[in-house]
Amino acid sequence: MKTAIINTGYTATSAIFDTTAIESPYYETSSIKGTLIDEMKNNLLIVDERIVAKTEISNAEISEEKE
Amino acid sequence: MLKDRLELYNELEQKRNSKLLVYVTSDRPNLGTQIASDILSPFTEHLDKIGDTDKITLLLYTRGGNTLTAWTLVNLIRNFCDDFEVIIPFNCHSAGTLISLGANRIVMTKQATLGPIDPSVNGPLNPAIPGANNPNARVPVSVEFVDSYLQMAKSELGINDQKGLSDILIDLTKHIHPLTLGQVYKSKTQIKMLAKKLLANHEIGQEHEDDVIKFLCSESGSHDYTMHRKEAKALGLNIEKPNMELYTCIKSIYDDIEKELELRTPFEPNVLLGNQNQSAYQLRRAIIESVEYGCDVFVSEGTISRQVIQQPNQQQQTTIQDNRTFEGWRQEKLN
Repeated sequence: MKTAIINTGYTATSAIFDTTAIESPYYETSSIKGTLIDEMKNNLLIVDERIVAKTEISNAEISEEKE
Repeated sequence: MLKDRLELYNELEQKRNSKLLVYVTSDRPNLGTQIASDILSPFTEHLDKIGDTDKITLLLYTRGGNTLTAWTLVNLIRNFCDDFEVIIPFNCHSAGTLISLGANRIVMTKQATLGPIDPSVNGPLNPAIPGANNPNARVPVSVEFVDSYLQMAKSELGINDQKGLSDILIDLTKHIHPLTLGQVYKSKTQIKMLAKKLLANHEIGQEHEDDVIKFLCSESGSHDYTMHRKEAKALGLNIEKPNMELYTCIKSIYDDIEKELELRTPFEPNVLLGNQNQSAYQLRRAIIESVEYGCDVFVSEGTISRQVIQQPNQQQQTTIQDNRTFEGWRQEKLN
Protein backbone atom coordinates (compact mmCIF):
# COMPACT_ATOMS: atom_id res chain seq x y z
CA MET A 1 0.00 0.00 0.00
CA LYS A 2 1.27 3.47 -0.90
CA THR A 3 0.58 6.26 1.54
CA ALA A 4 1.35 9.91 1.00
CA ILE A 5 0.92 12.80 3.39
CA ILE A 6 0.12 15.95 1.51
CA ASN A 7 0.72 19.30 3.14
CA THR A 8 -2.87 20.35 2.59
CA GLY A 9 -4.59 18.57 5.47
CA TYR A 10 -5.26 15.34 3.59
CA THR A 11 -3.60 11.95 3.43
CA ALA A 12 -3.87 10.00 0.18
CA THR A 13 -3.70 6.22 0.04
CA SER A 14 -3.84 3.93 -2.95
CA ALA A 15 -4.13 0.19 -2.67
CA ILE A 16 -6.82 -0.99 -5.02
CA PHE A 17 -6.32 0.84 -8.28
CA ASP A 18 -3.08 -0.72 -9.50
CA THR A 19 -3.36 -1.92 -13.10
CA THR A 20 -1.09 -3.74 -15.50
CA ALA A 21 -0.34 -0.46 -17.30
CA ILE A 22 3.15 0.95 -16.80
CA GLU A 23 3.35 4.64 -16.08
CA SER A 24 6.38 6.11 -17.76
CA PRO A 25 8.28 8.28 -15.29
CA TYR A 26 9.03 10.76 -18.07
CA TYR A 27 5.50 11.19 -19.38
CA GLU A 28 4.17 14.54 -18.27
CA THR A 29 0.78 16.10 -18.80
CA SER A 30 -0.47 19.57 -18.00
CA SER A 31 -1.34 18.34 -14.51
CA ILE A 32 1.50 18.99 -12.06
CA LYS A 33 2.65 15.94 -10.09
CA GLY A 34 2.39 16.30 -6.33
CA THR A 35 -0.50 18.78 -6.29
CA LEU A 36 -3.57 17.75 -4.28
CA ILE A 37 -5.69 17.19 -7.41
CA ASP A 38 -2.98 14.89 -8.80
CA GLU A 39 -2.40 12.95 -5.58
CA MET A 40 -6.13 12.40 -4.97
CA LYS A 41 -6.72 10.92 -8.45
CA ASN A 42 -8.67 7.68 -7.91
CA ASN A 43 -7.35 7.61 -4.36
CA LEU A 44 -8.75 7.74 -0.88
CA LEU A 45 -8.18 11.00 0.96
CA ILE A 46 -8.10 10.83 4.72
CA VAL A 47 -9.24 14.18 6.01
CA ASP A 48 -6.74 15.48 8.54
CA GLU A 49 -7.99 14.84 12.07
CA ARG A 50 -7.08 18.36 13.14
CA ILE A 51 -9.44 19.88 10.59
CA VAL A 52 -12.29 17.61 11.76
CA ALA A 53 -11.65 18.54 15.39
CA LYS A 54 -11.68 22.25 14.60
CA THR A 55 -14.97 21.93 12.75
CA GLU A 56 -16.61 20.05 15.59
CA ILE A 57 -15.54 22.63 18.19
CA SER A 58 -16.70 25.43 15.96
CA ASN A 59 -20.13 23.80 15.41
CA ALA A 60 -20.54 23.11 19.13
CA GLU A 61 -19.86 26.74 19.95
CA ILE A 62 -22.35 27.96 17.38
CA SER A 63 -25.11 25.61 18.56
CA GLU A 64 -24.59 26.66 22.20
CA GLU A 65 -24.95 30.29 21.29
CA LYS A 66 -28.18 29.59 19.45
CA GLU A 67 -29.69 27.78 22.41
CA MET B 1 -16.44 31.52 -20.63
CA LEU B 2 -15.17 32.10 -24.17
CA LYS B 3 -18.50 33.48 -25.41
CA ASP B 4 -18.19 36.30 -22.85
CA ARG B 5 -14.64 37.09 -23.99
CA LEU B 6 -15.13 36.78 -27.74
CA GLU B 7 -15.88 40.47 -28.22
CA LEU B 8 -12.72 41.38 -26.29
CA TYR B 9 -10.69 38.93 -28.41
CA ASN B 10 -11.99 40.58 -31.58
CA GLU B 11 -11.14 43.99 -30.13
CA LEU B 12 -7.61 42.87 -29.26
CA GLU B 13 -7.08 41.38 -32.73
CA GLN B 14 -8.13 44.70 -34.28
CA LYS B 15 -5.90 46.74 -31.97
CA ARG B 16 -2.84 44.56 -32.66
CA ASN B 17 -3.72 43.89 -36.32
CA SER B 18 -3.03 40.26 -35.51
CA LYS B 19 -4.51 36.81 -34.90
CA LEU B 20 -4.91 36.05 -31.22
CA LEU B 21 -4.12 32.89 -29.26
CA VAL B 22 -4.80 32.75 -25.53
CA TYR B 23 -2.99 30.22 -23.31
CA VAL B 24 -3.49 30.09 -19.56
CA THR B 25 -2.24 27.41 -17.15
CA SER B 26 -4.01 27.62 -13.81
CA ASP B 27 -2.01 28.31 -10.67
CA ARG B 28 -5.08 27.84 -8.47
CA PRO B 29 -3.72 26.43 -5.19
CA ASN B 30 -3.94 22.57 -5.07
CA LEU B 31 -4.99 22.50 -8.73
CA GLY B 32 -1.91 23.71 -10.58
CA THR B 33 -1.14 23.01 -14.21
CA GLN B 34 2.02 23.44 -16.24
CA ILE B 35 3.26 23.84 -19.79
CA ALA B 36 3.58 20.27 -21.05
CA SER B 37 3.82 18.48 -24.38
CA ASP B 38 0.10 17.59 -24.41
CA ILE B 39 -0.64 21.19 -25.51
CA LEU B 40 1.03 20.79 -28.89
CA SER B 41 -1.85 18.90 -30.46
CA PRO B 42 -4.59 21.41 -29.49
CA PHE B 43 -2.31 24.33 -30.45
CA THR B 44 -1.82 22.75 -33.89
CA GLU B 45 -5.60 22.59 -34.35
CA HIS B 46 -5.96 26.30 -33.50
CA LEU B 47 -3.08 27.28 -35.78
CA ASP B 48 -4.41 25.16 -38.66
CA LYS B 49 -7.70 27.03 -38.41
CA ILE B 50 -5.91 30.39 -38.28
CA GLY B 51 -3.69 29.40 -41.23
CA ASP B 52 -0.66 31.29 -42.52
CA THR B 53 -0.84 34.89 -41.41
CA ASP B 54 1.40 37.95 -41.01
CA LYS B 55 1.19 38.27 -37.24
CA ILE B 56 0.18 36.16 -34.25
CA THR B 57 -0.31 37.45 -30.71
CA LEU B 58 -0.13 35.04 -27.78
CA LEU B 59 -1.74 36.20 -24.53
CA LEU B 60 0.07 34.11 -21.95
CA TYR B 61 -0.41 33.45 -18.24
CA THR B 62 1.65 30.66 -16.68
CA ARG B 63 3.98 29.70 -13.86
CA GLY B 64 6.05 27.57 -16.24
CA GLY B 65 6.58 23.94 -17.15
CA ASN B 66 8.55 21.93 -19.66
CA THR B 67 11.31 23.90 -21.38
CA LEU B 68 11.41 21.81 -24.56
CA THR B 69 7.65 22.23 -24.98
CA ALA B 70 8.17 26.00 -24.75
CA TRP B 71 10.83 25.77 -27.47
CA THR B 72 8.61 23.58 -29.67
CA LEU B 73 5.59 25.86 -29.21
CA VAL B 74 7.51 28.96 -30.32
CA ASN B 75 8.75 27.15 -33.42
CA LEU B 76 5.26 25.82 -34.14
CA ILE B 77 3.70 29.30 -33.95
CA ARG B 78 6.52 30.81 -36.01
CA ASN B 79 5.78 28.34 -38.81
CA PHE B 80 2.44 30.12 -39.25
CA CYS B 81 3.54 33.77 -39.10
CA ASP B 82 6.36 36.26 -39.73
CA ASP B 83 5.73 38.39 -36.67
CA PHE B 84 5.05 36.85 -33.24
CA GLU B 85 4.35 38.82 -30.09
CA VAL B 86 3.50 37.84 -26.53
CA ILE B 87 1.13 39.80 -24.27
CA ILE B 88 1.66 39.28 -20.54
CA PRO B 89 -1.26 40.36 -18.37
CA PHE B 90 0.22 39.15 -15.05
CA ASN B 91 2.51 36.13 -14.35
CA CYS B 92 4.64 34.59 -17.08
CA HIS B 93 7.43 32.70 -15.40
CA SER B 94 10.04 30.06 -16.18
CA ALA B 95 9.09 28.22 -19.40
CA GLY B 96 6.58 31.04 -20.02
CA THR B 97 9.47 33.52 -20.00
CA LEU B 98 11.32 31.24 -22.43
CA ILE B 99 8.34 31.42 -24.81
CA SER B 100 8.36 35.22 -24.49
CA LEU B 101 12.05 35.38 -25.44
CA GLY B 102 11.10 33.76 -28.75
CA ALA B 103 8.73 36.60 -29.63
CA ASN B 104 9.59 39.72 -31.64
CA ARG B 105 8.33 41.84 -28.74
CA ILE B 106 6.70 41.42 -25.33
CA VAL B 107 3.75 43.59 -24.31
CA MET B 108 3.83 43.87 -20.50
CA THR B 109 1.28 45.48 -18.20
CA LYS B 110 2.41 47.22 -15.00
CA GLN B 111 1.75 44.05 -12.98
CA ALA B 112 3.24 41.65 -15.56
CA THR B 113 6.27 39.67 -14.44
CA LEU B 114 8.84 37.48 -16.14
CA GLY B 115 11.05 35.05 -14.21
CA PRO B 116 14.35 33.15 -14.37
CA ILE B 117 14.63 30.30 -16.85
CA ASP B 118 17.11 28.13 -14.92
CA PRO B 119 15.56 24.65 -15.02
CA SER B 120 15.15 21.98 -12.36
CA VAL B 121 15.73 18.35 -13.18
CA ASN B 122 12.87 16.01 -12.29
CA GLY B 123 13.14 12.28 -12.66
CA PRO B 124 12.88 8.93 -10.87
CA LEU B 125 16.60 9.08 -9.92
CA ASN B 126 16.20 12.41 -8.09
CA PRO B 127 16.76 12.26 -4.30
CA ALA B 128 13.76 11.19 -2.21
CA ILE B 129 12.21 13.81 0.06
CA PRO B 130 13.50 13.10 3.60
CA GLY B 131 10.68 12.16 5.97
CA ALA B 132 7.98 12.00 3.29
CA ASN B 133 5.64 9.03 3.50
CA ASN B 134 5.24 8.92 -0.26
CA PRO B 135 8.20 6.83 -1.49
CA ASN B 136 7.79 8.26 -4.99
CA ALA B 137 8.11 11.90 -3.90
CA ARG B 138 11.32 13.41 -5.28
CA VAL B 139 13.24 16.63 -4.70
CA PRO B 140 13.60 18.65 -7.91
CA VAL B 141 17.31 19.29 -8.47
CA SER B 142 17.91 22.91 -9.41
CA VAL B 143 20.59 23.15 -12.06
CA GLU B 144 21.76 26.51 -10.73
CA PHE B 145 21.86 25.29 -7.11
CA VAL B 146 24.24 22.47 -8.06
CA ASP B 147 26.37 25.00 -9.92
CA SER B 148 26.24 27.42 -6.96
CA TYR B 149 27.40 24.64 -4.61
CA LEU B 150 30.44 23.95 -6.77
CA GLN B 151 31.15 27.68 -7.22
CA MET B 152 30.90 28.18 -3.44
CA ALA B 153 33.47 25.45 -2.85
CA LYS B 154 35.85 27.08 -5.32
CA SER B 155 35.46 30.81 -4.71
CA GLU B 156 34.22 31.07 -1.10
CA LEU B 157 36.07 28.13 0.44
CA GLY B 158 39.07 28.30 -1.89
CA ILE B 159 39.03 24.60 -2.77
CA ASN B 160 40.76 24.48 -6.12
CA ASP B 161 43.08 21.47 -6.02
CA GLN B 162 42.16 18.24 -7.82
CA LYS B 163 41.86 16.20 -4.61
CA GLY B 164 39.54 18.71 -2.90
CA LEU B 165 37.28 19.07 -5.95
CA SER B 166 37.24 15.31 -6.43
CA ASP B 167 36.14 14.84 -2.79
CA ILE B 168 33.34 17.37 -3.26
CA LEU B 169 32.11 15.59 -6.37
CA ILE B 170 32.20 12.18 -4.68
CA ASP B 171 30.28 13.60 -1.71
CA LEU B 172 27.71 15.17 -4.04
CA THR B 173 27.09 11.84 -5.76
CA LYS B 174 26.20 10.34 -2.36
CA HIS B 175 23.17 12.66 -2.30
CA ILE B 176 22.41 13.11 -6.00
CA HIS B 177 22.59 10.22 -8.46
CA PRO B 178 25.45 10.61 -11.02
CA LEU B 179 22.98 10.31 -13.90
CA THR B 180 20.91 13.14 -12.41
CA LEU B 181 24.09 15.24 -12.15
CA GLY B 182 24.79 14.42 -15.79
CA GLN B 183 21.29 15.58 -16.63
CA VAL B 184 21.92 18.79 -14.65
CA TYR B 185 24.96 19.57 -16.80
CA LYS B 186 23.05 18.77 -19.99
CA SER B 187 20.10 20.97 -18.92
CA LYS B 188 22.42 23.86 -18.06
CA THR B 189 23.99 23.92 -21.49
CA GLN B 190 20.69 23.22 -23.23
CA ILE B 191 18.76 26.10 -21.60
CA LYS B 192 21.45 28.57 -22.67
CA MET B 193 21.37 27.22 -26.21
CA LEU B 194 17.55 27.42 -26.34
CA ALA B 195 17.51 30.96 -24.92
CA LYS B 196 20.13 32.11 -27.42
CA LYS B 197 18.27 30.62 -30.38
CA LEU B 198 14.94 32.06 -29.23
CA LEU B 199 16.40 35.51 -28.58
CA ALA B 200 17.52 35.68 -32.20
CA ASN B 201 13.90 36.56 -33.00
CA HIS B 202 13.97 39.37 -30.46
CA GLU B 203 16.58 41.29 -32.49
CA ILE B 204 18.26 43.00 -29.54
CA GLY B 205 21.90 42.57 -30.48
CA GLN B 206 24.63 40.20 -29.32
CA GLU B 207 25.58 42.24 -26.24
CA HIS B 208 22.04 42.39 -24.87
CA GLU B 209 21.47 38.72 -25.71
CA ASP B 210 24.39 37.69 -23.52
CA ASP B 211 23.21 39.93 -20.65
CA VAL B 212 19.66 38.54 -20.80
CA ILE B 213 20.83 34.92 -20.87
CA LYS B 214 23.31 35.43 -18.03
CA PHE B 215 20.72 37.17 -15.86
CA LEU B 216 17.81 34.81 -16.49
CA CYS B 217 19.94 31.65 -16.24
CA SER B 218 21.97 32.39 -13.13
CA GLU B 219 22.40 35.96 -11.90
CA SER B 220 18.82 36.46 -10.69
CA GLY B 221 19.56 34.43 -7.53
CA SER B 222 16.56 32.15 -7.21
CA HIS B 223 13.88 30.67 -9.43
CA ASP B 224 11.08 32.66 -7.77
CA TYR B 225 12.65 36.03 -8.61
CA THR B 226 10.26 38.23 -10.59
CA MET B 227 11.17 40.84 -13.16
CA HIS B 228 8.81 43.70 -14.01
CA ARG B 229 8.77 45.57 -17.30
CA LYS B 230 11.16 48.37 -16.28
CA GLU B 231 13.86 45.86 -15.36
CA ALA B 232 13.12 43.75 -18.45
CA LYS B 233 13.51 46.83 -20.66
CA ALA B 234 16.69 47.91 -18.86
CA LEU B 235 18.09 44.43 -19.44
CA GLY B 236 17.64 45.00 -23.16
CA LEU B 237 14.49 43.03 -23.94
CA ASN B 238 12.11 44.45 -26.53
CA ILE B 239 9.30 45.50 -24.18
CA GLU B 240 6.18 47.39 -25.23
CA LYS B 241 4.05 49.26 -22.71
CA PRO B 242 0.32 49.09 -23.57
CA ASN B 243 -1.66 52.34 -23.73
CA MET B 244 -4.67 52.70 -21.43
CA GLU B 245 -7.14 51.47 -24.03
CA LEU B 246 -5.10 48.34 -24.76
CA TYR B 247 -4.46 47.77 -21.06
CA THR B 248 -8.20 47.88 -20.30
CA CYS B 249 -8.82 45.25 -22.97
CA ILE B 250 -6.01 42.95 -21.70
CA LYS B 251 -7.11 43.38 -18.09
CA SER B 252 -10.76 42.61 -18.90
CA ILE B 253 -9.73 39.37 -20.65
CA TYR B 254 -7.50 38.34 -17.76
CA ASP B 255 -10.13 39.17 -15.11
CA ASP B 256 -12.72 37.03 -16.88
CA ILE B 257 -10.32 34.07 -17.16
CA GLU B 258 -9.24 34.46 -13.52
CA LYS B 259 -12.90 34.27 -12.53
CA GLU B 260 -13.62 31.26 -14.75
CA LEU B 261 -10.62 29.24 -13.52
CA GLU B 262 -11.09 30.48 -9.94
CA LEU B 263 -7.37 31.25 -9.77
CA ARG B 264 -7.53 32.95 -6.38
CA THR B 265 -9.64 30.31 -4.60
CA PRO B 266 -7.78 27.24 -3.29
CA PHE B 267 -9.27 23.92 -4.39
CA GLU B 268 -10.60 22.03 -1.35
CA PRO B 269 -12.45 18.70 -1.74
CA ASN B 270 -14.24 19.29 1.57
CA VAL B 271 -15.54 22.65 0.42
CA LEU B 272 -16.59 21.10 -2.90
CA LEU B 273 -18.68 18.54 -1.01
CA GLY B 274 -20.19 21.05 1.41
CA ASN B 275 -23.02 19.35 3.29
CA GLN B 276 -23.42 16.62 0.65
CA ASN B 277 -21.78 13.21 0.92
CA GLN B 278 -21.27 12.89 -2.82
CA SER B 279 -20.58 15.41 -5.53
CA ALA B 280 -19.70 15.29 -9.21
CA TYR B 281 -17.02 17.73 -10.30
CA GLN B 282 -15.61 19.26 -13.45
CA LEU B 283 -12.53 21.36 -12.75
CA ARG B 284 -11.26 23.66 -15.51
CA ARG B 285 -7.49 23.86 -15.19
CA ALA B 286 -5.98 25.34 -18.36
CA ILE B 287 -7.27 26.88 -21.58
CA ILE B 288 -6.12 27.42 -25.15
CA GLU B 289 -8.45 29.73 -27.05
CA SER B 290 -8.79 31.49 -30.38
CA VAL B 291 -11.56 33.24 -32.27
CA GLU B 292 -11.19 30.74 -35.13
CA TYR B 293 -11.23 27.44 -33.23
CA GLY B 294 -12.94 28.17 -29.92
CA CYS B 295 -11.78 26.76 -26.61
CA ASP B 296 -9.64 23.79 -25.66
CA VAL B 297 -9.82 23.23 -21.95
CA PHE B 298 -7.82 20.90 -19.69
CA VAL B 299 -10.33 19.40 -17.29
CA SER B 300 -10.44 16.93 -14.44
CA GLU B 301 -13.82 15.25 -14.09
CA GLY B 302 -15.17 12.71 -11.65
CA THR B 303 -17.06 12.14 -8.45
CA ILE B 304 -15.97 12.48 -4.86
CA SER B 305 -17.77 10.93 -1.92
CA ARG B 306 -17.31 11.39 1.81
CA GLN B 307 -17.47 8.54 4.29
CA VAL B 308 -17.10 8.47 8.05
CA ILE B 309 -15.41 5.26 9.18
CA GLN B 310 -15.60 4.02 12.78
CA GLN B 311 -12.10 3.06 13.89
CA PRO B 312 -11.42 0.18 16.34
CA ASN B 313 -10.18 2.74 18.89
CA GLN B 314 -13.67 4.33 18.93
CA GLN B 315 -12.43 7.31 16.92
CA GLN B 316 -14.09 8.33 13.67
CA GLN B 317 -12.10 8.85 10.49
CA THR B 318 -13.42 10.98 7.65
CA THR B 319 -12.36 9.89 4.19
CA ILE B 320 -12.99 11.25 0.71
CA GLN B 321 -12.95 8.81 -2.20
CA ASP B 322 -12.17 10.18 -5.64
CA ASN B 323 -13.34 8.47 -8.81
CA ARG B 324 -11.73 10.30 -11.75
CA THR B 325 -13.58 9.63 -14.99
CA PHE B 326 -11.65 11.99 -17.30
CA GLU B 327 -8.55 14.12 -17.27
CA GLY B 328 -7.17 15.82 -20.34
CA TRP B 329 -7.86 18.34 -23.09
CA ARG B 330 -11.40 18.74 -24.40
CA GLN B 331 -12.58 20.83 -27.34
CA GLU B 332 -15.52 23.18 -26.81
CA LYS B 333 -16.88 24.41 -30.11
CA LEU B 334 -18.24 27.90 -30.53
CA ASN B 335 -21.98 27.88 -31.25
